[in-house]
Amino acid sequence: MSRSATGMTLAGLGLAAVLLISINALSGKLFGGDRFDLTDQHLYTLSDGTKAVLSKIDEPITLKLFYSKELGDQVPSFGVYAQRVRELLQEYAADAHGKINLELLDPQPYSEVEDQATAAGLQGVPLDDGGEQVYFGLAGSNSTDDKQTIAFFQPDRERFIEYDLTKLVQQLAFPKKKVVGLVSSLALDGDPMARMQGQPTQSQVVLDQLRQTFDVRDIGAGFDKVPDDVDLLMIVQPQKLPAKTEYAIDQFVMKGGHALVFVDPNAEFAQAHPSMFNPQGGPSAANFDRLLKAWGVELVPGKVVGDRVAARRVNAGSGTHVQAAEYLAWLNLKGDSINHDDPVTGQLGQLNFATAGDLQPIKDAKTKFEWLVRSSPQSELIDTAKVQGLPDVLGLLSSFKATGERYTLAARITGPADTAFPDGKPVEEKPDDAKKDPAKPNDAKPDAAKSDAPKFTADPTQVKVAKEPIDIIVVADADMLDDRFWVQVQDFFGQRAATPLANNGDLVQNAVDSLAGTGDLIGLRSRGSAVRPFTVVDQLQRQAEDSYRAKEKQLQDKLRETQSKLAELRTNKGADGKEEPLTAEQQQSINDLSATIIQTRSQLRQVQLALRQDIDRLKGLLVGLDVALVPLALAVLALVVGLVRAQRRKRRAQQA
Amino acid sequence: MGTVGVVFRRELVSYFATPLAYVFIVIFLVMAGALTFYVGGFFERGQADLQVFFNFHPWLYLFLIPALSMRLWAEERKTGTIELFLTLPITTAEAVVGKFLAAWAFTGIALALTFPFWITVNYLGQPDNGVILASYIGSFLMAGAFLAIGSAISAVTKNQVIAFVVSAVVCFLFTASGSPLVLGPVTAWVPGGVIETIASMSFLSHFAAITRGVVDLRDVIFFGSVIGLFLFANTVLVELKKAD
Repeated sequence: MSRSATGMTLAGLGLAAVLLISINALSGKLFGGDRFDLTDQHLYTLSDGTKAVLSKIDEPITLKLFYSKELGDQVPSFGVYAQRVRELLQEYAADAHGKINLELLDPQPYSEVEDQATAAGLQGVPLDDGGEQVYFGLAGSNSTDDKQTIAFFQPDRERFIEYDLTKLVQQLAFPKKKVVGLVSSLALDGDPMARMQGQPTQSQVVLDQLRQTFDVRDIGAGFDKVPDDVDLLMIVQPQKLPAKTEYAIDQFVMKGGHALVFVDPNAEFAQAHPSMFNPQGGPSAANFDRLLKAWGVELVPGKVVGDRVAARRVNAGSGTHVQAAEYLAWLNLKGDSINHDDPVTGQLGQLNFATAGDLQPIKDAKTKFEWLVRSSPQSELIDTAKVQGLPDVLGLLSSFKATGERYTLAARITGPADTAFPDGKPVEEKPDDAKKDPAKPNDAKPDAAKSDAPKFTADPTQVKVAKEPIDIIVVADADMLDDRFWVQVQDFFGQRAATPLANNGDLVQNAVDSLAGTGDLIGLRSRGSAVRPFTVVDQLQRQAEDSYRAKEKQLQDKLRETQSKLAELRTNKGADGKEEPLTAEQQQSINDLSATIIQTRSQLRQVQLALRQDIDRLKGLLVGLDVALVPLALAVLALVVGLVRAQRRKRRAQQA
Repeated sequence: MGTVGVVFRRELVSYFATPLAYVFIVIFLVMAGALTFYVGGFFERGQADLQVFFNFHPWLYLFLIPALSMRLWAEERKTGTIELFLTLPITTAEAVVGKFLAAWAFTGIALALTFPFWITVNYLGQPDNGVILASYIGSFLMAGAFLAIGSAISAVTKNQVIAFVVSAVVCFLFTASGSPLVLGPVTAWVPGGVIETIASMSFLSHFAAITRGVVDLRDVIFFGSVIGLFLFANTVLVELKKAD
């Protein structure tokens, strides 16, 4: 009996194991999309933006997912990721109602499928030294033979996977890119002079990213009509535009064109990237008041916004002495400084601005002025002169006084507007004025003064009142377009790999998307990129610095002073230039000064220690709470329970 | 279910009658905390999430759960109380399920007592609490699967040490199946389909899938079916040994 029972048991267990495997294999097929997405932003649920894109597809699209099973077998995390990509694509196909052809392919080494993968531009990755390659990428094509690929699904982009896929689908569904006309005095696209001379020059990541979905064209700064095929204007730091160009922009907007404008009271960009427009590389201020006023907004001249809360830490020391301090004019804006109700900024986590200006609505303007980015209430306006050259970071910090006002750094302007040229078209300037040499800005000055008061003639084709409500986004900072403020660019085997530190690029993309009417991608773009810092720790750090920074500076000054006094005494020379022996009195004061130096140094060390003290204390407290508190409470509880039990037992024993 | 409830209550109460429960929970909490802070660098990371904390759970369970499960049946068999136990008017299956649920509830209590971590991240920043909830669910399910395995193995032997070691090894195989460490020795001579099946049994990948913040029905079915299978095995083994 026992042997047959054992046999039966083993058979039963074997059957159960088979059942386990088949249940799980089956559940994979049956419950492909059933899940509870508990994440804040519903990262694992198809977003409305994706659904909108899918519903607009007209011509069928073919998507080929190349995935080598070998890869998942060797590296299981890729297996999990591949499953997610596969399911997501299946959801896309299901939602597109037959407009998406999905093919799942396994490119075996040396097979025809592998040739297809290579031909489509997918990146093969060697698993071992054997020379066999594995693939995990996507190739898409549409009926007009446009092609888009994701060469390899990088695991660290998993959180942006839906955005990447939807963008690819959108590019295939609408292959014609919208045209962005770029009017810029800054060398965003690399130095044009250098390019003409055949030298390598690198464009800013903002433009690179924009070019993935838009056709960005530099249309210069001297046109008298915006080209017909331009869908949207991107105007960056306009300076001394000829009146005819301003008129052209005005008419473009009056006729229903949208514009994204960057005006900066102090563009550090020009300093960092000298070009033929800014050969001397000095700071520059925007000059675009006439049009801004007509649209109902004004850039407060000669002032930049300083924000105590958003200030970024910089090295304020000199030479080898590193001293971290917060620079009021370089801002890292997050939380309620970003308008989360507007689709352009709604999903953005943080933005880095540098010496940004303040935008004010003009009284009695017909347009509506909505802030997109603003400073904290702990802010003030600083003269641009104070932030030019080498700013006194510590000086700015110590003279800071909050006004309690929140300054607007970026705004959306919508509504009815009138032309900035009520008297008609500006009269064409003299030919030699128009051909002024941009390399000689000094010569241009009288011209600029002249063009401030141009003559006008009636233009029968002029639109004087906007045909439809205007839609303009103005950002009071051009430096936020500069790579160095928001993105780390690395050279990755000849490719540029950009890792954003802030959402500056997303802001520009979102703004262009929104203004160009391709807003479906907006909700997707910044999904999953939310950084969740320890706000309490940040705040502690700020408080500590507020209370100790002044003391630290005072001690440092004292130290420097004492040291220079000491040096003076040591090189004590008589009237004849010869060194004289030190008097006892001098010797005494040297000793005193040395003692002071040692003492000050130790005080300084203590202050610097105190800066971290609160944070270290918090950490200790939390470790205690998390690691020890509950166990201690349990130990006490166990002790009490044990004692009570022992008592009871004793009593029972006595009774017995 | 009435009798299962009775077994469940009796077992759960008996945990707290001995120092075992307290020792187990204290060790679990202290180790989870220490690993998170000192090995995982929770504070220095500066991110308001509990990712580091949950990353250590599979490895903690690997040692702690077999310690909990080893006595479930082995002890009863050694002391002979199993005969007494099974003369009670309940079926073996009810006894198995009742004991398992008690042990599972007990790990649930231990897990719930890590709440200071949840308070900590919510104090320090704004974490995604949905992700944390999903991770707790995933961790609890995984603990159940570990327990069911340990419980079944403890029914085979009288020796608790053997039960502990074997359970730890089997749990390790399940945890790391799919990693080259486990698959390496078999890839050469086993067809791809089997390898894929073994890899799909990995606790780590199912747990990781849930800790992203999505409770996928398939992951729930996976852990549920592992628990079901091993409880079935457990019942069968107890029955078999009873016949000896």
